[in-house]
Amino acid sequence: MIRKLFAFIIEIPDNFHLEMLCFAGQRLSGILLALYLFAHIFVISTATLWGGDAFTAVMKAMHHPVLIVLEILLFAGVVAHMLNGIRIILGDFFALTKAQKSMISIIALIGFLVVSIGGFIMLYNFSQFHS
Amino acid sequence: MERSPFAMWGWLLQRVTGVLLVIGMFVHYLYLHFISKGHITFEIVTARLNSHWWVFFDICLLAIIIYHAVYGLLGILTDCNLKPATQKTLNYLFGIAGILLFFYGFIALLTFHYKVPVI
Repeated sequence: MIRKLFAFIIEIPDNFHLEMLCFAGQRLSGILLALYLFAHIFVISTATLWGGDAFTAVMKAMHHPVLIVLEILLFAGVVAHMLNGIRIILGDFFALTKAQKSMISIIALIGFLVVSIGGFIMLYNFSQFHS
Repeated sequence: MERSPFAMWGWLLQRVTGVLLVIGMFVHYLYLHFISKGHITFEIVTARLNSHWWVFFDICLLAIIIYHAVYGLLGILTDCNLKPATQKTLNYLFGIAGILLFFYGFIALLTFHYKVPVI
């Protein structure tokens, strides 16, 4: 059961190619994003559980350097999962299986640009908050 | 194993929610990190969620993302080729967990609309 659960990582060397890496990446980022979602809903619910001031205090605590780095990594995960998901849908519904490799190059380029711009904005916001 | 009539629709809905999430997450990130500049307090959120449109948007985003996340995690377990009975139990368990999570998030959201906990 546990072996099957992690087969998508363990079996990468058995069938190593770019699409396989995308599949493993999609699955791994999906698991991490789902876990983040549960934590995110819980953090937002602090307002319900302990009131508005507790919520504001938690949000203020989020402006920690380590958490900002994690936040940028989270953004990169969201962008990667999103772009790869779009690639899968395009491949499935528009019979673009043969164009998979070029689509991967395109989403990698778009992803790099989007994460760079988004990461810059997050770092800029962070610097403004602490100045 | 007899295939559930939900199987195909579940798969299709995962694609539909995926596309909707592209739009939803774009708005979510644009508003909270670009317009709000990542500066969030209880007052700022209650001011935004005073609008019924934002409440509607956030409820939709919550429902869509919970479906996408729960169905995605269930799909990973389905890939393990479990016993049909175990699989069926998991299907119900994940379905119920998703609905409970939605209501938990929904109550949290309403706190910002009414400015006090509704429960």
